[in-house]
Amino acid sequence: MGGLTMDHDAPDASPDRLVDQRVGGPQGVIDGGPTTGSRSRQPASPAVEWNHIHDVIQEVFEALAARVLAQEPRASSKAGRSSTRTFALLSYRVFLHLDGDDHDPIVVGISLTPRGDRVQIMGDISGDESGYVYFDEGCAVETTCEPQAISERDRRAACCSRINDHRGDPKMT
Amino acid sequence: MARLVYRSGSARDDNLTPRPGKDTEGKQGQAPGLSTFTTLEQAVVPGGKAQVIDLDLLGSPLHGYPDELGFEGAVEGHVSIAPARSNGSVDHELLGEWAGTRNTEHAHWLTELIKQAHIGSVKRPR
Repeated sequence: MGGLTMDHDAPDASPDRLVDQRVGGPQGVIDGGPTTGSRSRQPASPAVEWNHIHDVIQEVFEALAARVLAQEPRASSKAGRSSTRTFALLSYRVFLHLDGDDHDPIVVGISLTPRGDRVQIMGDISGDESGYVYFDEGCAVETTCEPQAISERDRRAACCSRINDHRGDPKMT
Repeated sequence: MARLVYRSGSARDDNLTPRPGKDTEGKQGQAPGLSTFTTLEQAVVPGGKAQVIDLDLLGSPLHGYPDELGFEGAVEGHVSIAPARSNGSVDHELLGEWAGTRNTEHAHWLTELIKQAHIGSVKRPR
């Protein structure tokens, strides 16, 4: 796993950085199928097996969901994935509120953004609609496009989520 | 009009799809549709996360409708993204169909168009 860099100081993308990303990032898009819907395209990153990466992330999220369920038997969650022009993969688990309110469920998610020969991996626990970030400390890393490197970094980013099981959220307690 | 707009929350399909009712009924000075803002500060609380959408990348028939200032319900910086008819007005029927797919396993093709105009995620400084 040579060439790995930790990017703890820059978990936030400024608008300027986003523009740079759009201009200087992967320009090509390929037709992709692993997301929902039929008209998705993904950033070009043929060397990466996104299905495998998704599975690796979901293994950790399933363990997280089990921990939450052990503490709160009424808790329910759902796994999912998506992709956008920017995110080659957004792998997540969404936790519904205990009172049945479907507004702003809590999303534990990890996004992977190819940038040339590297991949930026960012994770957080946040409100699906509000964008309120419950936790994102140390959940931004960048690595090479090698599948093994991404898997390891993904697992690490996903594990960041495990130190916070929503105890701070009044609706989940 | 600003080219980049901010949608609070995640890049999940559900959050990039209008809500039935709330987002399908406009008000005076504000078109119905997916709510976005031209500034990050309007979109999220400090420390919050938003998705950035490039209006220039929106595929047809999606269109960004800025609020018409001067009306009671208008908010400066608010932009509703909705499907447009050929005359430029909001296609309410298609908007309703789109909103009807929220919280389902199926991503509507208009949600896919939003995702293709998604250029990143940004967090507002605390």
